[in-house]
Amino acid sequence: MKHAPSRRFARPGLAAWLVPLCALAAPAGAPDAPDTFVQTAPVTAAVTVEGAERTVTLVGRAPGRVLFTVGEDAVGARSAIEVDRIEAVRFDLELDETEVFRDLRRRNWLGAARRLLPAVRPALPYLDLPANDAAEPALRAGDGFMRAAARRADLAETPEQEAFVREQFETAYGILTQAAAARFSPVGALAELKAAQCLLALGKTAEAAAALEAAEEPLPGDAAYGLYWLARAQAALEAGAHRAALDAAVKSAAFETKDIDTFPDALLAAARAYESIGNPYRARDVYVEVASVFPGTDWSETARRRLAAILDRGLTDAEEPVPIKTVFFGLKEDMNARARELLAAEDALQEEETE
Amino acid sequence: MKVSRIRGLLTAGLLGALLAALPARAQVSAHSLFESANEKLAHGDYMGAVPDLRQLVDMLGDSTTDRTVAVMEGVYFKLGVAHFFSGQFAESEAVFDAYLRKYRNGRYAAKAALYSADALRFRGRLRDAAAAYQAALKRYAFNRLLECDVYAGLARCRLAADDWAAAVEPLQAVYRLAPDLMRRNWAATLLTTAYLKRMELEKIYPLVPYLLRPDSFASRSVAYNVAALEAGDLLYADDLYRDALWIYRLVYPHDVLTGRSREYLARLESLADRLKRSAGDPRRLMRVQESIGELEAELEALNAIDNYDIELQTRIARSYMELRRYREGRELFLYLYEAAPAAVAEESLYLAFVCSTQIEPLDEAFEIGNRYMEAYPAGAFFDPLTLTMGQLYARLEAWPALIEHLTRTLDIAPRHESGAECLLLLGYAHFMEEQFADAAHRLRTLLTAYPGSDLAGEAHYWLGMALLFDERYEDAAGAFDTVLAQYPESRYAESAAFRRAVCDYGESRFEAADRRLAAFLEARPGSRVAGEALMMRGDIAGALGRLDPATAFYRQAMDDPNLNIELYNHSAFQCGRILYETGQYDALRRHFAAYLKQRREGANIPQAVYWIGAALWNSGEQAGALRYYSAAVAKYGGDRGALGIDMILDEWVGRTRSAEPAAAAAAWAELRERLEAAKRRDDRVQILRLKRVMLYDPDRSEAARARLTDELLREDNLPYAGPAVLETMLDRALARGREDFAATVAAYTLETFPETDTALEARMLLGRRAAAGAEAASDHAERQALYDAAIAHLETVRSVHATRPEAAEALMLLGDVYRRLRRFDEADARYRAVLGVRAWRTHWPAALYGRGECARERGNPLEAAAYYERIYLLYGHYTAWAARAYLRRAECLRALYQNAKAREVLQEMLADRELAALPEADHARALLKELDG
Repeated sequence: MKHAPSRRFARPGLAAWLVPLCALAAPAGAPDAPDTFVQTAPVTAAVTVEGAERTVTLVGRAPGRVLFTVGEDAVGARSAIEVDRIEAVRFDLELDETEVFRDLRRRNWLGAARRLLPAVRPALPYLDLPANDAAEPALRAGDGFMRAAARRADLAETPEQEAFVREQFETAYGILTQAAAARFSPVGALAELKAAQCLLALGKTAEAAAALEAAEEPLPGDAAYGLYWLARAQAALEAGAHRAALDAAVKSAAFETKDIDTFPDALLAAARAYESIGNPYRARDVYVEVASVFPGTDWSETARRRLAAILDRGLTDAEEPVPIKTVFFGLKEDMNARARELLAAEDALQEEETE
Repeated sequence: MKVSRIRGLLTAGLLGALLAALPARAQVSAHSLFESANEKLAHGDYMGAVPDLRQLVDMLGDSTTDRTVAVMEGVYFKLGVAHFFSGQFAESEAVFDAYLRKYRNGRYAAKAALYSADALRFRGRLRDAAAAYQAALKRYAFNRLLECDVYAGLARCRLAADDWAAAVEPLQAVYRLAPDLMRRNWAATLLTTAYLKRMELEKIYPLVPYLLRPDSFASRSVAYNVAALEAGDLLYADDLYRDALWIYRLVYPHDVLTGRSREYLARLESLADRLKRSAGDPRRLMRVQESIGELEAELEALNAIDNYDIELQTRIARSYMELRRYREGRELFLYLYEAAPAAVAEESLYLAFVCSTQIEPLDEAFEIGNRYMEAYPAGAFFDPLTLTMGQLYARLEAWPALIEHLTRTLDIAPRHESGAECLLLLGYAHFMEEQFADAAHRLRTLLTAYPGSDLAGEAHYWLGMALLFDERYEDAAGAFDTVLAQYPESRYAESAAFRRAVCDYGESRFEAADRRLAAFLEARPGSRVAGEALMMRGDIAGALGRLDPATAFYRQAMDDPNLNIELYNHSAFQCGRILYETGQYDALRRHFAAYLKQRREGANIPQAVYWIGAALWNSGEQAGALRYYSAAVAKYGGDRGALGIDMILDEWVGRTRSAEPAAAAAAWAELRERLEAAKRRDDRVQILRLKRVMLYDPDRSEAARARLTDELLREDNLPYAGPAVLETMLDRALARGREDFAATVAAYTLETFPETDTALEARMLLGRRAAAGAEAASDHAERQALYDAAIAHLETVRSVHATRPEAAEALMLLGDVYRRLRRFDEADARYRAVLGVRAWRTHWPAALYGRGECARERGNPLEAAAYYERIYLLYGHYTAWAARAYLRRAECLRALYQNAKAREVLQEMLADRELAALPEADHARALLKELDG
């Protein structure tokens, strides 16, 4: 969409806030080439420049700049400001967090995502702006669609269901690629990695691998550390590189134990990799861990399914060689028994609930 | 990881600091007071609103008109709120009490009761506050939001009194009622803290998803993290590593805790500022302010405890290691190596190595191990780490790497705590690399440096093995004797007993070897090397001409399932050969029929077929034998390693010579047809094999045979030539004087078929050639190299083929070579070995002569003269040797100034007409003339 060239703030009566903004705005008579403008749906935001906050209506983007209008002159009175000069942006998000929370408590990811998306949609073209408060809910929206799709993917049987799942992943991917622009905070890196996870789920393994390759490797302690290695583990599992998957999953699970969005998934990826490299004992241990530490969650259900499969097939029936110290001090733990107790307790609970 | 318990985290009394001083006011009307108060409250100026509202109460509080009473309900409530948010809790409480007396069921009664209880709490009257909250819950119906506040207040009263048990119930209510993530998270964190204190771990896990969030209250709560640390410590101390791990992982690092708290405090302060500036929800502001107060208290408490991050990570890593989650352990220990102080860093790197030793492939274990060695050459874990690395190399059979590693290790740490183990491993590795002298050196060092070591028995054994394989049989025998005498209970004693016999065998002391083997078998009939011992007894019996016992030993050996295929085949074919040579054809057929039936992997089927055919032929079943052979040639002829096929073909040729002319012609016609067919198939193995046979074709002219020989003697045939073809090439090349080509064929034979008889011939050729070359060499280095090559070939012949006639020739040549090198002990030992075997008696005169030459060249003519004398006295019929012996003895006597005796010896020699005709006689005469002159 094309826009009229920007004009300078020069009218009297604007608040003092405008002074620094005017100073930073594009100079009068220096119109951008029309084809460099992209008009967006108008979105109200409180923009801080040089410590002063002012409510404006954001209406479009040009390279390195944001178009906006002020007050009642919204129509036709567009101005531009360089993104680098913006310190913070607070969007007027129409979001009922209580309802979102209610959906999340019920593990209704799709419901939460559908509440978040309309609120953040107008802000999506502006997620690169420094310290904006829409990036994080946008990430949550994308994540919600992704989780909903992942959950349904296991159950999809008909082509329609599969198409629905695919559509959810694509929606998630669309949101996350925009949220990936939020480089002022960890949200950008997290969204970039989640977008790669969507590609994996969509079967675009080569594109996912390229995206992960392009992503910067975080250090332990970085917010994206757990997700980065989790995504790499998942990509490696898809590629059948089980040892590489295990190494990556271990990095994620060992160093990022405080992120519920990655930790249990990383443990499950590690367990799956342990299974793949022919170590059912460690796979069993990790599944017991996930089922025990995250009871009543999707992760726990997955872990219990796999645990039951391992035990039913008798893969851990044979005695595992243990270090001599363990035997000597009588520290040996019967993990098969512990696993069976865990499954039995859960089964009994389910029967009770059914009754 | 003991930290002081944090008490009083949830203290109140923070609101007062928010409010500014009360401005002066003017006397105004009730309406304007009302307007003014509302305006101030709308802008968060609670303290400013108090005088207006108080004046309204003073003015109209006692009014009884319904309208005024109704209006004043709001005024009373707002005054209570204004006092409350001005930090005037006593005043607030009094106003709310007054309100509740006047408006027991009023619009704001529930809220007033809640504020009243809150005010009590902020005044530190926790018991009263708790009672007030509970009373409010009974009396009023709160909406969900306020009910949550009531329970939160009640929980805070309990927590402020450090009564975690009593706090659980209201916290559960908050968790259940919380309308947003923040409050649910707060409740989940504090509930977890309470459960941790009571070690009710199962109740914690359903809350974990709330604890592991970036904004979680858990990431800022000292009480929570300290409780988790303490619970983890208890579990860890009880060796409950799995549960300890699960709890430790819930603990936020000190650094994170500090960072998150500061960051969140800044956010809350910013939010509080915004809420104060706007007309918002005052209770929301209250909650934010209360959170700020809590957070400030948390930060203060956090400053009071030491940073526990390294210890926490160490315990998590160790828990992973204990649970055999070695990959996780390794990652964390490597991290600690980088992040922790020096003492912890060193141990962490070592433990990362320990974890890596459990993870295949072992590359990273070696990489980490080497990193440790570089970083901590004097480290506390240097010795166990380096020994483990050596053991890992041994497990991988990476002997050169092991040698390099442990050599470096002992260079760095000559007083290594496991020096004996290192030396034993080194000795073994050198042994496996066939560096026998190095092996012996390492093992001797071990025995010298660690005389009381538990490994001494093992070291003596491997020293014996190194010496044995280095063909130093006498020394090896000593080592094995030590094992047997001093370590009879050692697991190596059995093997040592057998190897001790092998030493005798290697020294050609066959009778002694046989006695030891017999004793060994009697003492240890179930030994794993019993088969090998029986086979060796067979070899010895065969060499000594005891053929029936020899076949019996070989058969017994073959019955031992532990006998490896190489020795099994040796026993089978040696036994077969004896049966054939002694004409026991039926037994021969049965022997190889059983061999074919057993068909062990690696069995030499064509050769067995050959022997069965030979037995058939010699039993008068010629037609059957030829059919049998024909089928075998067709089946196995393309395999160049099938030596039996060449034997069959040789047998075939031999049979045609004694067969009827017509049958012989038919047989040769069949062979020619086979050759043409092989050419058509371009089957080069079969072509060479049949061309070799065609050299014996009676219908082929000499010229044609010469052409065939030309075709055979080509280097590009080598890759297709089997042992028989190679042997023919060797012989024909020598016959044609093409010695270099013969040497090429011999070298190729050794490389390709080292275990065959052809290899023996090849080795002899190379040994002889090297010895002769050394004699002719003018350059010292070249001469030494040639002698070394000769020794290597000939020593192999005498030890590997110890009972073969070639062994005697090899020993004699070795004696000569060592004598040239003035290594008289070794030379004399070789001659002596020949003298120990009756079957080699044709070599005895030469051997005695050699011993005499050794003595003479050492400067001991008297001893030498005795050897020479024995030659002509005992073996006079070996005239050439007798003549040389006479002459040498006379020379020795002359050197001893016994001229008369020398003259006698020469005269005796020349009196023998046979001896007098030999070339030595001329020398004898000349010497006699000198003596006479």
